[in-house]
Amino acid sequence: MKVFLIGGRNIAYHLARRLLNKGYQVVLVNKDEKLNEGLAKRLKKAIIITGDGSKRHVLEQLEITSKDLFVALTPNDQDNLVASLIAKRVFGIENPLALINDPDNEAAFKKLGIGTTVSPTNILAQAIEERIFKEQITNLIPSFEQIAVFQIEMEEQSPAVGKRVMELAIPRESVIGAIIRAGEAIIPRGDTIIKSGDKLIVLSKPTVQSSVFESLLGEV
Amino acid sequence: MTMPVLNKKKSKGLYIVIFGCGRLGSGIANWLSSKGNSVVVVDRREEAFSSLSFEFTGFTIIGDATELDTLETAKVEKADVVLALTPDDNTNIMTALISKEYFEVPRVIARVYDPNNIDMFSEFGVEIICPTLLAVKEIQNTLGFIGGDEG
Repeated sequence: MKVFLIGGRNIAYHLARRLLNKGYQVVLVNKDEKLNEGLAKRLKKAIIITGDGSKRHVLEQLEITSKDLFVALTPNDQDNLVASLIAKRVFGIENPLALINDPDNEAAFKKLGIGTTVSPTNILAQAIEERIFKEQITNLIPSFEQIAVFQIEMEEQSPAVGKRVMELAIPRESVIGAIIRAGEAIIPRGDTIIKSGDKLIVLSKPTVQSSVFESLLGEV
Repeated sequence: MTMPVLNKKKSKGLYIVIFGCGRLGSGIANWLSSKGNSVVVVDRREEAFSSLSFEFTGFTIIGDATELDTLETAKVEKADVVLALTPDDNTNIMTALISKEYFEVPRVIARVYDPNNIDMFSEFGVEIICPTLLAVKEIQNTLGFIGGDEG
């Protein structure tokens, strides 16, 4: 099995270095000849090809098989889409990986059969949001846009402490699915009383998450 | 599958979105607009719209065809026809595929210079116009008297 990395500068270099260290065969395809000379010096064991990796005639010369891994890393979504479609339809690679620059394109890529995508913009946006959240909040499933799952830790002064679940003013588009109390999981009912130190597992629509935090923790 | 007819006069005309306002895009936009269709032209560069003629009565949008937001702004989901005519093959392919598969536009036509990809993208139901192949055919016709094959 070989790993084909199409485009990408620093990401391609660091990925290649890591994969080579783990003993994989790595092929880098890049348009920029100068860049490739530099890469060739730094990555002695990699195969480096100069060419446009979103062009079928270039890819056809690389002896790609359906067992290989294919990763499209260029800064252009259109090139990543075309490259991974060729990988899938011409070479039979089941799950080519495509980098997506405009996160909105993710759904469109999926519809076209490219289901495995990575969006640096999304990853950074999540990392930034994590910093905006208070310490007591942990985002349990960071990658979903349709549903948010949080673990929220109750403190002495949290407004929800001492109340029954049915009394909480959380939005209708949210629910407390479980409470972790002293290492045990409790499935809460309406009359379950929230205690300090409880970790609430909360499901909500992302659009109402800030009001969920507000009603459980106070000002956010 | 029913195919909308492009110059069906008198009736309200079709809603047509054109990506790329170069020589081809602007020419087609002028023509379609003068035939009574509602035309929206999208280009990254504002200067590109200067090649639209006085006959053009449609709208222009400055935007990148590779951003889904641009397609939404251009109301591609309501389009009868989408034409992807930017200078970049992959941009045209992506815009065309997304218009077809994601926004379910009935008729999608893309200009693609590289003849290699035509079969693959035709499978999605996108019509591909390949200037390279058209030129090859034209030259073959012109030179037809030299070759033996009358085809």
